[in-house]
Amino acid sequence: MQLNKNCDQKSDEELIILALKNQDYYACIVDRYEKKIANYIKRIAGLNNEDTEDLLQDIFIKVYQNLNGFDPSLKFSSWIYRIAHNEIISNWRKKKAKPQFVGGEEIDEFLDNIASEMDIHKDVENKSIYDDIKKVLKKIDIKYREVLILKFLEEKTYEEISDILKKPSGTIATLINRAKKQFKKETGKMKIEF
Amino acid sequence: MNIKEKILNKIKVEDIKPTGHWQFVLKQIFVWMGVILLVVIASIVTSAIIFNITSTDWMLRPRLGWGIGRFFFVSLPYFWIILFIAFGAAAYYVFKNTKHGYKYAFPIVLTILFLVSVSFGVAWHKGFKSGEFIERRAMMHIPHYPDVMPGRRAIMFNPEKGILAGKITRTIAESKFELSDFDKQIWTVFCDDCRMPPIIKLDEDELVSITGEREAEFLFIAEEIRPMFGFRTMEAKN
Repeated sequence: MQLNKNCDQKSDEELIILALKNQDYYACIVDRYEKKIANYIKRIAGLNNEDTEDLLQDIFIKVYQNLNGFDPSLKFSSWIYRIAHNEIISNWRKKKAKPQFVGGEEIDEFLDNIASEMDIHKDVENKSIYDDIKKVLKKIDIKYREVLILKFLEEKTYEEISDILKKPSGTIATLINRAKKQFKKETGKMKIEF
Repeated sequence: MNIKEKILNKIKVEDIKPTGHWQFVLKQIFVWMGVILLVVIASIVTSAIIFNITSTDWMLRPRLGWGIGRFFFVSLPYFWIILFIAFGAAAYYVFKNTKHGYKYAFPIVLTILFLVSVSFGVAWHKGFKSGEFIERRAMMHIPHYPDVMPGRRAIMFNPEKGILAGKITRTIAESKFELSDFDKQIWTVFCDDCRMPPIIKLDEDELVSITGEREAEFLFIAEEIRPMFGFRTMEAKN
């Protein structure tokens, strides 16, 4: 598709301007972020594929409706994650279902990233650790779990997390520190060794 | 149909359009107007706080037999202080909803809002005497206003301790007048040998503070009559 070829060379900001003039260009934005946002939904909300798809659709419709409200001083990815975050929370409230952290191979990725920041020696061969880590992450408060996911799975910077969660950078740093402490405390309680 | 097609199809079928840019701009204008309005109100309330604190009549303290600390804390205008906190909190909340409001930490926003409100409050107080204007209007027109300022009421209206305050409603003779107290009770006040600064005219609607002795029910013998809000306000008025 000619449109798709053009999309790859364009920045997010250029695509927004084009999508506002011609909605076909919105397909490029959806293409670019569909997978990332779907993963984010699964990581935070722990929904099944069908519910993830429904929520993803709602998020992209919301993004389209708010294209004119995009603040160019932010990264577009932060802005779209912010809308996703708000929709996930609102969906969670509607369904009154507690967000779950989904693991599998993602635990490995998570551990890789968090291990580099904490004094953890990750044993990649020990797959039984996955279930334990899942249990630990389930025990961690949602506000801490969310920043851990954004930092160590989505690999966002403090600035980006601040823009996504609409909290000052200092607060984000504090939340991440506390989250790491809680993570370490819970793993200690469960006698998990890495 | 994949998710991308579903999204684009929904946009087309339901004719979903992006919200106009002007609506986002207008929303931000309203939010900022809200912040400004709340800060202005908070600063006017600040001027009322400043006026109340600076106009406290410390000459009444020995008569009440209170210590300096007790007198100071009882005289604080808690009603206005609570209002200031309420408007300050509202201003903080609305500010956090501006486009970049979330970027600033709570203590920074709070300090800035406090400094702006107090600076403007001092300006209102010094430049326009807004604190005195509000206090007088509140005292004369807001029902039960003295009741929401129980500390100041106890200081200014304590007939058992020989302190009376209120509005002059009628001058009967040169040294006799009627006064409506905070409960709208009418007192007859005699001022035969009382001290009274020449700036006090005992005109109707004048707000005065009287020290002396309660002679009988609603009958008061004045020893001294002073302006209700202190000499400085009275001097400024004249």
